[in-house]
Formats: sequence, C-alpha cells, structure tokens
Amino acid sequence: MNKLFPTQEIGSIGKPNWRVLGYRGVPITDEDFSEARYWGKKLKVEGYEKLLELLKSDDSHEVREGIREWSAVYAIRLQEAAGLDIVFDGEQWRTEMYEALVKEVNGFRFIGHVRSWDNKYYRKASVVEEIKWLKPVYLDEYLFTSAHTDRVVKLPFTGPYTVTDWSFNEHYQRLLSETVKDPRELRKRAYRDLLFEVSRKLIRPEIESLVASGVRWIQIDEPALSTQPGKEQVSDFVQAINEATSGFDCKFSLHVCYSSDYEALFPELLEARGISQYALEFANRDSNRTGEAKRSGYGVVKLLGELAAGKEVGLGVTDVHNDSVESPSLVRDRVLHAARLIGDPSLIYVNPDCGLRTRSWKVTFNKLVNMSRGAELAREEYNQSA
Amino acid sequence: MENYLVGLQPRTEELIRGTRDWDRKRIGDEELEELRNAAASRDFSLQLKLEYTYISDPMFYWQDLIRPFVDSLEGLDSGPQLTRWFDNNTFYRKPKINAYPNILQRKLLKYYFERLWDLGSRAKVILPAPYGLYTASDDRYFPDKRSGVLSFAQEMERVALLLEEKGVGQIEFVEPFLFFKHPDQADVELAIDAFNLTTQRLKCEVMLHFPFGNLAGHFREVLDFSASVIGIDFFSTSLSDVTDFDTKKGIGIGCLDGRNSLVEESSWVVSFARSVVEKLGDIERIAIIPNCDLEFLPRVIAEEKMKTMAEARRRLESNE
Repeated sequence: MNKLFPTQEIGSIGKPNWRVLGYRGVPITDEDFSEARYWGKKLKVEGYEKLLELLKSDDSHEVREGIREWSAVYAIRLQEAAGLDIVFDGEQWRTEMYEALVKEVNGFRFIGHVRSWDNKYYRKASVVEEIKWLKPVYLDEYLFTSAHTDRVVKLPFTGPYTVTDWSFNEHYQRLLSETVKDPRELRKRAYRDLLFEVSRKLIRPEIESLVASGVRWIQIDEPALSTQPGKEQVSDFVQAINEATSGFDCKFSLHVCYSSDYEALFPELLEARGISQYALEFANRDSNRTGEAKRSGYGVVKLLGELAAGKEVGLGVTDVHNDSVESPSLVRDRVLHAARLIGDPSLIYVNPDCGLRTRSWKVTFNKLVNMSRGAELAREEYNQSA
Repeated sequence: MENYLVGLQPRTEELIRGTRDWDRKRIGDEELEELRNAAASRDFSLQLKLEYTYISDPMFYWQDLIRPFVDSLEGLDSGPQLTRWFDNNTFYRKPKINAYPNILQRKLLKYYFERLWDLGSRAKVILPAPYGLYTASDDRYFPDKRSGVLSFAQEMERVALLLEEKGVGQIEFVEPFLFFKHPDQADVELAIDAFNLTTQRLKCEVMLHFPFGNLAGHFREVLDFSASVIGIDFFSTSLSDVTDFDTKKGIGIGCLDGRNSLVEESSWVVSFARSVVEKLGDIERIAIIPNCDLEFLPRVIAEEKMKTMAEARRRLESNE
C-alpha cells in the first residue's frame, strides 16, 4: 500500500447477542434489540431498519440468513468507521476458526470440548478417515464482504499446521501403528503425515478455488505454529505451506500469536517464500507505558531488520484479552519503535494482537478507533522527522 | 502392578456448560457447585470401580496446575499474560513473583474435594514440583534463580507436609518444564536440589512425573531425585533412550496418550509395558498411567482410556 502504517483487521469480532440468538431462532431481549439499533445508527449502516424488522419477525430460514448477513455488514461498517484500511467481515459467519473449516470437509469427527484456558473451551475433532476437500468453504464470505466495502479485503483462514495441531490424529496414527512401535516415533510421524495431507488435500484446493474467484490477499492463521519447540517442526511447516501456496497470484500473510519465542521460527520461516507478511502479537508482551525508549518483546522485529528479510510485519498493538483501551500515543510509540527496529517503515502494518471476539463491541470499536488514531499519529511524527 | 491417574482430569460436558453459564451469570455459585460435585462424584466413582491403587482429586477447582498457588501463596500474584502450556492449545496466566512465598493453608485446601480426605492412604494429591512452579512464573523479586527456586522448594515442603497430614498415600509432583527442551546441567542440578529439599521429610509415597519431557541422556540424573516412583511420558521419551534405570525405584509407564483420542488397545498397553520391563530388568513396582493429564481429552474419551488402563493392569497381573 502507498500509505505508511496501514491498519488492518486480524480475525474475528465478537458476535452480538442479536446475531447469536436470532440465528438460533431464539427471541432476543429489548436490550439486544436496542443494541442492534444503537450500532446501526452509530456506524451509519445503510438500511439497518430492515435488520430491526427482521429481528421482530417470526423465525424462518430466510430470517435467520438475513440476520447472519446483517451481522457481517455491521462488522464491516464497524471496521470502516474505526478507520481500518484492510477489512473483512469479522468472521461473523463462522462458528470458530478451527471448527468453521473442518466441519465442511471429510475426514474429521467432532468428539467433545477441551479447555483452552480458565472456563474457555473449544470443540475438538478427530481425524478418523482420509481427508477430502468438498467445496469452497470461505468463498461466500469473501464475495459478500467484497460486495459491501470499497476497502482492501483480506481473507483470513486457518492454516495446515493449526488444523493438524488442534485435531486428534487417529487415522494417520492407526495407519502407521503396525510398522512403528515406539509411541514417540509413532506420534511424530503420524503428525507429519497429517500435516502434509491437510496442506495438499485441504488448504491448497481451498486456495485454488478462492484465487480463481478473485481473492488477492489471504491471511493464513497459524496460532499453533509457535507451540512446537524445534527447528524440525518449522521446516515441516515451511514445506507444507509452500506446497499449499506456491504458484498463486495472491498475497499471503501469516498470523502467529502467543509464542514464547518468535525468533526461534527464523531464519527457517523465511523459506516460506510465498509469505510476504508476518502478523504477530506484541501488545500482550509489551509495557503499557508511553515514552519508553526500550520496549519488550520486539526482538523478532529487530531480527527481521538484521536479516534484511524484506518481509512486512503486522504489528499487534492492541491487547485482545482485556478491556483496557490503548491510548493513541501508546499505539504510536509501539509503531515507531517497530519501524526503527526493522529499518524500513513501509514494512510495518498495524493490527490488534489477534481476533477481538472475546471483547464487547464497545471495547472492540474503541480499541480499533485508537489503533487507527495511533497509526495516524505515528505517520505524522514519522513524516515530520523524515 | 498399579494404576492411577496423573495431573488434571477433564470436566464433564455438563460441568463445561455450567462453567460457561456461570461466566455469563446465567447460573449462580450454588448451581455451579452442584454441577462440580456431580462431576467429581462421577470421577471418584469410576476410579474406585476400576480399583485404582490411588484415587486422585479430579482437580475441577483448578484452572490450571499453577493458579491455586497464585491464590494461596503470598508473594505470587496473578499476571494478565496468557502463556501457552507447552506444545498444547491450552494456556495459563503466568504469575509474578513479587515477594518471598508464604503459603496460606486455608486457601489451598479449598481447591480439594472434601471427600478425598475420607479415602485416607488411598488418596493421592498432585502438586507442581518447585523448579516447575518457579519456572512457570515471572520472577521480579529474587536476586538470582537459585535463591528463588530454593525458596519455593522450602515453601512447597510446607504444602506437601500439610497434605501428608491429611493422610494421603501418594503425592505426585509434576515437573513438565525441566526436560521439555534440552536443559542446562545447572538447571538439572538445581531442580534436583529443590525437589530433594521439598520432599526430605515426607513419609508418604512420592512420585515425580515428567509429562511432555524427553528424558533421553538424563536417566542418571533422574535417579538423583528422591522420588520413589518416576513417571515417564513415553510419547515424549523413546523407550530406546531409557537407560540406567534404578530397579529399586518404581516406574510409572505413561503409555496411554492423554493428547490423542485414539484409545489404545489394552493388548498394546500390555505388550508395551512388557517391553519396558524387558529392557529395564526386574523393576519392583510398575504403574500403568497416562503420559500426561487427561484434561486434554474430552471426558468421554478420557473415561475410555481410564478403563483401558484398568484392563491392561488386569491382563498383566493375570499374565494374559
């Protein structure tokens, strides 16, 4: 982009109650109805009165679909009103990043919930037979978003490593169990087999269908990539992602978050040649004070500068796990600090650490507004000093 | 031949729904407590029915292995930072060490179900090992790592003695940090010193469990830990790397995978346990255990694995 420090979404936005209940056919409260009206007015959503009518209508398939579509329009308008340059639909049509993908393909069976942290859980599936891609999973979301915004559209979806890591691996382990007797070796080899199968048989066909329909920027979400400790695993990922992304006329960014050591991913990760941007979480590990000369957790930005990698960094400047809204000056400080470390400010994009799905719309909006203002402050300050 | 669980157990789907509803203020404390008790009853009953050697608390009050100590150790404060729990899609809040640790016994005891104490010497409790507890935290107080780890070791001794007074038969110390990545020799020695300080006055059985740890090349050092049973995660440590095991120590053969839903055949577990014995010689005490907490599995799968453990033990005992 020509603009310095472009701002972008990074993942899901919370679903409003009227969306969750309305889509289930459960009556909403007056408070939920007021919320739909409030945000419709505030975000200047054109024709939002039609949503209000839908919310008062008797339940039907058409009503539910209509509510679902309106939630995407609202999420797009929220990002636009907050000043984001690169948008998507807040993943309003998805249940959850992992589930949304694997429930649409063959080979996976959901078997129950496991804990993520505290009282947060996710539904986990087992791979019980050979994986097979059936039809485009995200194409309708992309087409809908593109039809409802003039901003740059980036389509985020879950990558092969995370699908592998977040699934139980029954099928590929069973296939190897006759020949590999040591449990450690069995687990490791079955993991690799699944990773490459997901990459070839699921992710690549999905990318192929999206690019053929006009998608020009895909964000591969790989929160699991940072969980495995070794270089061997990073090399496996590189091979898998290269198999999935090679040969397409499309920009690919990679989102990784909550790693204990991003630097351990390099330099191997640079071999994933199709990836031009790393969108990483930083706010979670940084001081919340402004005016500090040294900030913590930015070692990987410095490393990318030293390696002269020429890769963009999607800089997480907004913590998605608490309601405290970062000030524009804090965002500015973070952006300028990263720009200094990497050496080329045009490589810095500005985003939240991760999806904001666990925050209310009020907090999400305020955080994104301040994020955009902070990026603007950084632009002004950089241009003055240049 | 023995059987028992290790680590945290998975909540039932009913309890999961309950905790979500409680978070959203749809149910109150009392209703959540009922669900928690019902889930615990189910867990205790199954362990008893399967005739496990020790019956462990399912740890349904625990948000993770560390949090109860943030609550009950003065000097350890909750941090907001979510930190990944090893190579799992699970997180904990990394605590901050802001002062010398001091246990508040009353607070700690509320993390256990009362019925556990009725089991007397069949009861087992699970604690983080002192090196692990320190390593899981962000130290802002101690001048150096050694003094920090040893201070935690002293305080964890008080914790262990308190639980021993309740009559438990086994205390399991969990040490996932030391061998997750290849450790420095100084860290291994520090972990040994700390563990031996914590356990020096304990009379009950002491188990030291290394989930997620690759012990290759460290078996001589492992024997320096003053534990009577060593738990090995055989999905992280290859059997071929197990050497120099002291046959006077008991071994927990962690060969039921707490991180995969594929339920092992009991015949496979039997065969694997026999191959361990064949390699290590005439070990006096053997326990068939999961390689790690079963909480990484949905409850229904965990229960299947619990049954497989018991079946494998039966077959080994009857030499089938």
